[in-house]
Amino acid sequence: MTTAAKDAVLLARVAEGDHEAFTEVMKVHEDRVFSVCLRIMGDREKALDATQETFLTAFRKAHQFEGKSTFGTWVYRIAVNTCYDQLRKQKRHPSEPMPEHLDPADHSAHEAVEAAAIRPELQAALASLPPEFRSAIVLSDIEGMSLPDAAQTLGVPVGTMKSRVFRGRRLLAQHLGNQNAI
Amino acid sequence: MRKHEIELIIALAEGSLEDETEARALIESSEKARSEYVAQKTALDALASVPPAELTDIEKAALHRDIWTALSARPAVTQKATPWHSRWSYVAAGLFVVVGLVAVLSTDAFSGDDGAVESLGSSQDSPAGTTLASAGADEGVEAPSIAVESAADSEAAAADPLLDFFREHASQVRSGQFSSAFSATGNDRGSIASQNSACLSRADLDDYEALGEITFDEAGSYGLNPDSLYLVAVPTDVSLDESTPVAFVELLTCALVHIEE
Repeated sequence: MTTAAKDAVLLARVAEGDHEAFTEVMKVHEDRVFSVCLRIMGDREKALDATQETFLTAFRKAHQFEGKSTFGTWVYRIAVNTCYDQLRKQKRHPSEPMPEHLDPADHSAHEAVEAAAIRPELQAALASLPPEFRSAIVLSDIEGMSLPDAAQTLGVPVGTMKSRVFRGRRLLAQHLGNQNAI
Repeated sequence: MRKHEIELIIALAEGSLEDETEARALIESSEKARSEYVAQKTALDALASVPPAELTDIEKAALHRDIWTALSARPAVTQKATPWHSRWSYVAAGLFVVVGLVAVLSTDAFSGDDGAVESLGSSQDSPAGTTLASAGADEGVEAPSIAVESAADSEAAAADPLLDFFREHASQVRSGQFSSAFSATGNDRGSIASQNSACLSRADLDDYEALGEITFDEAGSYGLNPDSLYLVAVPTDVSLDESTPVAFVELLTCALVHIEE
């Protein structure tokens, strides 16, 4: 059975209320989905929200998963889409960034935040990229996806993906260079 | 720069070339090429420092709990706040009343007002989706989009969030500002169009092409069912302007919901 076919079987079991299948799906994909959301959103709380929303949507729309790609590709597409929507909402209704609200019982959260932190200038440079370039860079250069896989995730031709990565890196370098010049 | 040169620069920066001779010669002979290479290398070196991001065990437990709770609590049938098909029943009822009145009051009911009789005929015979487009072209008959209901409903229609949603997105499409995760511009337009042609065909929009999707969350921000997912389409091979019709197809069912004329 192909990976995609196995995924379809698992999803069907989740839809029937199989908690074991649900846990199995989450275990395989949750870290990577969170990583994609964190690098696109740039904020842990927002990334956690986007991750939750992503999986909720994926499970609710599991009947649309046709197995043409793997579930991973499909759910990462939903993750990117969810992040785009949340970024657009932020743009329409900007609010002051909240301080990191870490569960006081979760001592590992502080370590996790520090471990995942990237240089402020790089964070700012990533945040300055248009969403379609940011997601291309995140999938290709941070998550290490191949260009065909990343293109399939974003639903664009490989040539378009290549172009977005090239231009995204160029913009990123410009922003980093401008910051160094200040 | 030519495509081949750009690909050489990318490969050199990524360290994926077996033989770097040609690439090195290029960046040594061209300032533009050198500048592009430096930019690619700078970005890649910076991105190489990004550490992996993982959820903590507590975050995972909370995530599983919240998602499973939400999935378990979901009702079997999701009721949309303002289902479009129930609005259509008002539109149909309103049309029958209007045409009936015209027939009773007009002395030329059956020999004159062909537009009204034809539009009624088309609304009876055609799926609701095509009625939108065909009646819109009939003389003297307003396009029966969701907004055009009986006079008593017009005020409610003006405040209809679904209509606002469609109007705003149609405006964005026409002005070239439509942007979604999967919107198509330039060279992408063909790819997005071909991926969604089957759905448009089921919606009797064979002469339309998809520009992209409006996602559930976007719909949710208008107070609509956050599970809504619409395909946005325009007539094939037309330039976008103020008069371009914009069609919205419900993606789960491939049913035409609205055409903004």
